[in-house]
Amino acid sequence: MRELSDELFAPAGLQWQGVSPRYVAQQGAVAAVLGLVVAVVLGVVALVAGGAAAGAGGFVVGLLVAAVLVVTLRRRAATWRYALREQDLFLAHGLMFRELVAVPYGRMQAVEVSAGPLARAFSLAEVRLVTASPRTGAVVPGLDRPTATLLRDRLAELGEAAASGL
Amino acid sequence: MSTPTSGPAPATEAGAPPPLQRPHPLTPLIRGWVVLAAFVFGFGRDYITNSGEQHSAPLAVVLGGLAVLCVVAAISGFLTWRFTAFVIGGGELRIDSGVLRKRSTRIAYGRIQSVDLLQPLAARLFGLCELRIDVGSSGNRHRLRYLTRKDGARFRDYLLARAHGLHDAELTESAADLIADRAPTDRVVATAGPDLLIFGFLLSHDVLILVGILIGVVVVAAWNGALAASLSVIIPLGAGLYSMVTRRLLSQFNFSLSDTGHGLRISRGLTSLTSQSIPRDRIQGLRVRQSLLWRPFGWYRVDVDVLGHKAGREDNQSGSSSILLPVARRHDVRAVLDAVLPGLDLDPVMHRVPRRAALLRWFDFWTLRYGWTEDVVASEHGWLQWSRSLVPHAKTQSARIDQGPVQRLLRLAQVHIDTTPGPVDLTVQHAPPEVAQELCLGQLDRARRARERDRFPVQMPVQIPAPAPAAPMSAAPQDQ
Repeated sequence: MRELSDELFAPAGLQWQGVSPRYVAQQGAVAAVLGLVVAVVLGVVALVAGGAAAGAGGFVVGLLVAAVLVVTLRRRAATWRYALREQDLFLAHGLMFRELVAVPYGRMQAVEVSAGPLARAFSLAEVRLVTASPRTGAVVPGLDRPTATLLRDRLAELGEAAASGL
Repeated sequence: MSTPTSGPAPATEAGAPPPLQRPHPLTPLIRGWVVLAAFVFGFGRDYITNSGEQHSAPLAVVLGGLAVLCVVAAISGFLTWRFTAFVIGGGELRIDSGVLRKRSTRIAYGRIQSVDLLQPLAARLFGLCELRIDVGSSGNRHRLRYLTRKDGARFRDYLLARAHGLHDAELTESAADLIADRAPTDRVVATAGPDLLIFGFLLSHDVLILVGILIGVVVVAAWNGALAASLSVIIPLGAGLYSMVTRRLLSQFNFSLSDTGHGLRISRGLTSLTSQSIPRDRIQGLRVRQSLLWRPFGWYRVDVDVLGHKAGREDNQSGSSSILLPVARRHDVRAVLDAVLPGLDLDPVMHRVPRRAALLRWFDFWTLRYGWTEDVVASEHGWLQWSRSLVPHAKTQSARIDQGPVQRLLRLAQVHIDTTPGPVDLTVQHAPPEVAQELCLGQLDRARRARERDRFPVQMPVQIPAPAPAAPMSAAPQDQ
């Protein structure tokens, strides 16, 4: 039955495209920095509380947590995927909390490409679809810029072709 | 323009440009009243709560300021009135306004979504009314105020007829009865009498909680002799109760929902009358609710998600409310659903969620149900407050599945059908994976089919009031 659950978020018969490997690296880097901060904080707290040995132990524990964090975030980043069907777009992501979003092209009101400073540092961008419902949350992060632009143009073209009234 | 009955000139014959029309001359007086009342209320409240301490400003200054404000408001109101004009007729509606910065708004008739007729208390005293015109899908609002009631009804009918594509509609007398605002061709779907509204209101759980808190605070304060000091708590609570009474009771008084050919019309109100038109194709979803207190009486409340109305807004003053039926019995709910979604029968298709959902929602898992027909998808939940949401397939914006780790263990998932912001949110909680897949993926196909059906609909017979009879036709000319 796990297969059925897995298939829920990756319906068969679709051409799934993943996001750029640099996104995985970006998330890994973010996790590493966060993890390091946690390790240092833990180490310092343990040092203050129990002495040098405890401090070292706390730091090691923190490093382990950091390692787990890095692995998890990288794996999660790798799960982002999208598929362009004939009439609609599918987006899926998530490791523990999984989500699949399906948006018909005719319902897309706008397609945006944006990149925050962190994304720009890794030459990545995200594509966001706007529909009339604010809860749709159709986002594909971590695409490299040419792919993001191409995707946006393709979606805009498909959206116009399928435009229908609200 | 000086007589009280003066108003827009009658429509000219075809070929002549439509006349420029002005709002009624009493408009500035009525608008000024609101400012005055707000000022008095604001200062009065300050006065009362500060009684016993130093007054914040001596009485003379306050009255002087009031007088100055009156004069300023009167002048600005007069100027606004003088420079406002509108033209109805021709290819579009044109509204010119502005004293310093002139603004001319042109509204194509086809873009008008709905026209509401409001009669706030002050305007009603003089027999005037206000028209609120919703344009486009973002709900841009334009107001024409104030007009005589007859003209308001006339223009409303004309604008709605033109909006539905009837190019040869004429500015004739409205067939709608001015008091009940119902034309002979309208079919009354449901009404809510005062007794139903009052009892429904008194048995609402939020009202009871608020009244309970208010009474509790008053009793405790009186017991401890600190009544004056606790006024700062009692007054906001009282204001909250007052606003609830206004929203739920006074503004829904004499509620009547009728089916005109073009859509639904709600007329309601005690002191301020509102006549709100809801075009059928703007309805994005419906929600039927019943709280535990209403179950013994079989009362329901129906809310509607209309494109262009902001989420959860229950204003009374602004004339648009998302309440389709404030308090109604089962057969009225049935009638309304038939009017909006004809031929809907949900009972055979509603399924329960699997028992394993009890591990996640032990408190109401047996009430979770979902189902769909060819036109509509529905889900319901709750026993303390039972709620069923319906969304027509054609109005689906997107469909989502999500699943947390515990749900994955239990082989359950959640499906969301997203619509425009409003009181209706359709979520199917804890459905088995095969149902979730069918619901979500199938929803897109169903939505597409429904939109195609809408695009080539069976023409609904549109009733418009018959034009006033012309002079009796003389005998037909003998020569063809």
